[in-house]
Amino acid sequence: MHMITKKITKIFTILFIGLSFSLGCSKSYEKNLINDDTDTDIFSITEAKNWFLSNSDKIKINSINGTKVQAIKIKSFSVNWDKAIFGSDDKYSVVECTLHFDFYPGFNIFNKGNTPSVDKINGITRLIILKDKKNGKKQSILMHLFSTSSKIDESITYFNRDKQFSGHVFFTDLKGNFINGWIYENGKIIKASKKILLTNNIVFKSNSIRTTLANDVCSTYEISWYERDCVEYYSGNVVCGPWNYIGSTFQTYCVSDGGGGGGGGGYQPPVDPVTDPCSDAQSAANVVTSLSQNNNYINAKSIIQTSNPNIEQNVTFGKDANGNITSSIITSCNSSSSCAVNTNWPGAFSDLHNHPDLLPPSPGDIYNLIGVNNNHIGYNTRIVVTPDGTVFALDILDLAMANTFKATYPPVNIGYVPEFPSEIFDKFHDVRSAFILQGFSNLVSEERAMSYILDKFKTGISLLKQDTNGNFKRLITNENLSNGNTTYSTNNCQ
Amino acid sequence: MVIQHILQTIVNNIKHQIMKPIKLTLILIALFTTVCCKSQQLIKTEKDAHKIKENEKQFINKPLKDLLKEIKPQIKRVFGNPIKNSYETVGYFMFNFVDLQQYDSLKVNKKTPVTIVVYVKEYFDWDFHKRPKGKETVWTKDDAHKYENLTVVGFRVYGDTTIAN
Repeated sequence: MHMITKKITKIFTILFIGLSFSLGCSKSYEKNLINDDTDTDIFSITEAKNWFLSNSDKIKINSINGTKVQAIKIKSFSVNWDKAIFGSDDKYSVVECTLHFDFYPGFNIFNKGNTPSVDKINGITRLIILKDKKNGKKQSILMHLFSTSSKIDESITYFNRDKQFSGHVFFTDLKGNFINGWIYENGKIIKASKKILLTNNIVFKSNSIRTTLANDVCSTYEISWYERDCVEYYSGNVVCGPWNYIGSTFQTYCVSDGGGGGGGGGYQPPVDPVTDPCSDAQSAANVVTSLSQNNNYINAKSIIQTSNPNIEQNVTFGKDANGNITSSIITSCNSSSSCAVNTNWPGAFSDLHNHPDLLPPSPGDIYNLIGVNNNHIGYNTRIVVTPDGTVFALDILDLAMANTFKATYPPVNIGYVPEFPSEIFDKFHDVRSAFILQGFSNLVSEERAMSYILDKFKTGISLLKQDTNGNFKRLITNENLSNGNTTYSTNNCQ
Repeated sequence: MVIQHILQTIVNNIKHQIMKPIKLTLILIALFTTVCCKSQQLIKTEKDAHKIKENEKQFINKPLKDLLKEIKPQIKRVFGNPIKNSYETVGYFMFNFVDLQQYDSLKVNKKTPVTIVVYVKEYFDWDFHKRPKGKETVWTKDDAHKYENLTVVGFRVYGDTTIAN
């Protein structure tokens, strides 16, 4: 009898512990927001953890048991699996985990051009593991929260946005590369990130951009990234050091009617408005081709080409009140201080200068044009003519992307000349030398290397070249990997 | 007096006998120091390449030869990129301590060999396609002599210093 009682007690104890354990682990949150009743393929925390740990090498980041890996923006972190929560919407099963960072990330997000207030820096970053309900494909991303009121509610999750929440929710890959984002005001989505092409039928108005194509009102936001060291004591107190600025990315947000996953504001990979790089740049190419047929352009180019070939001369093109193309006086670049382009020319939208060497647009031309375009909306084209009469044009297709490129790969100064940082310089050299070794001229090798770099490093800028018919066409250089060898080939737009 | 003279001669002889090897030793030390100092180049191995950047004031606005004599490892690959207008960009030489084949092989394996890029003020004559066939990227003594007086204006040093030559 005593033995039976003992056994029953043992069974009940085991059952009780098991039940407590399963209830404790499942910590289902905001039950009313989770559609977990009909889904037969529930994504368990254990499955998410196993997948993440077994793929940590491939996704170049570690979990709590792995080796720590440094990333560009996001430093190494550890995952609190025991505090993971799960949920699902119609597209994804989602596991969400809080994180421990070596350096905790924080943000300050503001309309580009505004001066940020340092006391606004705040942020929460969490790991999100998604399982596609259709194909079972898993992926890990980071969700970042930023409150415009400086105080952020820790209870905000992937599925649950506080009704009072005003701020940003945005998603990046594990290295910090932007995927998509939402802007909230009092718990409602007011804007969504959007990839737009600045040359697609756009009317500019002050600092905002109106795309007549989609009839959206969009504006560029600067996301300033910070990090700080925090120490968590056993008492639960957390003491943090000062925020250190680590860089900025730029994103375009447009007025939104809501959408996204899990009650709005979820992961939503951006769809390129145009996926064909030739169509992408066609509008820009048409504008430059049209400019090149204008008498003001033809006269200015002729004067520049017949002037001292060893000195750079430049001219700015603008539009008057009637939309007619105008040109500034031609200035000579014969000292480091006299090389600035005339950005104050009324209606300025483009400039032209010669290169004394047989070289396409330089890194300096690229970085400078990004700066000019930021200060003069619509001024997004730079034309270069070489001694043999070859004409190139740089055209900024996506200023937000160009700004992110510049912030990620800031120029290095060799003397007073801006150059690519070594990572890009090295790649540029490899592509250029590959074509030189194939017997191509320095100019052709340089133009191909430059077009490759502009695409590879996601500059949002296209390199165009004028063909024998006078039309500007985008240059495209592809990298091909075969049997461990890297080769480069051209696929220029026709 | 005679005794004094004899004694003086003996002392002088002893002095001379002692001083001779000391003098010889001093001369040898001086010679050794001179030779050693000459061979104390800044860049003894590829791993020292970053020292160029750390000591760049020693080379900026100085002729290229001042830099080259501080580099002990053999330069096996070079690319020149002359520029006429230094307000637009600056011409440079790109030096590696691996030859073209080794360079390509490292790149296939996603490795970047130690690279020293030396920017120079003046335009220089360099056309890859006019260099000796098959040896376009070889840095020769003639090259070193031809370009020795170009003025160095900047550096860029990068690459994996753990890659064995």
